[in-house]
Amino acid sequence: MSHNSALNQTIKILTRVPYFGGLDPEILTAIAQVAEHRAYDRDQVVFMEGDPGAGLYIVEHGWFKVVKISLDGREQAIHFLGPGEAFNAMSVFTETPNPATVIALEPSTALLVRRDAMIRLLDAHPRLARIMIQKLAARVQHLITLVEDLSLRTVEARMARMLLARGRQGEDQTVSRRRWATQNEMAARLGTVPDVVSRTLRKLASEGMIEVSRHQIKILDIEGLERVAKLE
Amino acid sequence: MMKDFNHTNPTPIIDADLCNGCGLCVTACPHNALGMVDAKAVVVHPQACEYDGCCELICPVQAIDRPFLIVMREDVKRDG
Repeated sequence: MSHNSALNQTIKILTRVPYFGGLDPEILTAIAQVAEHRAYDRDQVVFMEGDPGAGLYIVEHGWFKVVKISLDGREQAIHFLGPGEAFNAMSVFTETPNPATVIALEPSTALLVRRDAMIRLLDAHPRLARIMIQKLAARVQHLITLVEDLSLRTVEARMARMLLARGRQGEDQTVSRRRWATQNEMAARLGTVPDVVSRTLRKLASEGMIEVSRHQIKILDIEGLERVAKLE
Repeated sequence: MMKDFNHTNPTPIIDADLCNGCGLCVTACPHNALGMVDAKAVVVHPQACEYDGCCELICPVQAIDRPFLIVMREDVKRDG
């Protein structure tokens, strides 16, 4: 393959990477010129968790697995990477070590844009820096939303369980004192804060599972709450 | 805090030890149910209280709490 067609092939791979979407051909060419081609045999380690990050990798051909190794040596796969996917982007911008170990699942190739080369490119091309900042900010926003959703979902399941337990307690004729719970008590019990309790109650009410009427939380849909209670 | 609570017509419970007398809850309440007595917030018009929680939300020292009663709707109680 001639140098030019190899460069074009590299540029083609780079255009598939979300971080490089919308970049001018001139900048893509500059990145392609500093990208290193790496080949890996099956089961070959690309890099180890905890080692200093080398730079941004982009899968060219083949598949890789991202694993975490537990203290007792067990490997847990957390992600799989295929052609066109980029990984270890954070090591370009920070000096944090690799967050996981990456291993080739089969004979594979990848492009490596080393950290220092990327930094020089960012200094030389402000538009590249601007686009990467936008992409990183969008990713941060996505992760914030995901964390909020996951947190709320966990609280929702625990709240459903608590409501069912308390509601059923009230049915027991031998318990003469009915159970009241303040929002602060509910929050403490669910491991969250009153604001989240309030939002979760509103969500359950909007889904028709409960009705909040003044001081009363009335359970309308036992089966629905039981389904939510299992979602954790 | 719950021992003087009116179970029939409940209103938010205000912890007088925590209350710092800032009066934000009085300002926030859209139904004018709250007032200041001896520099502490008190539910002065319980019949006006709609239990919407504005006071609880705005209190900067978490002195206000609304108890909730969790019940089953009559017709969805399980048999046996």
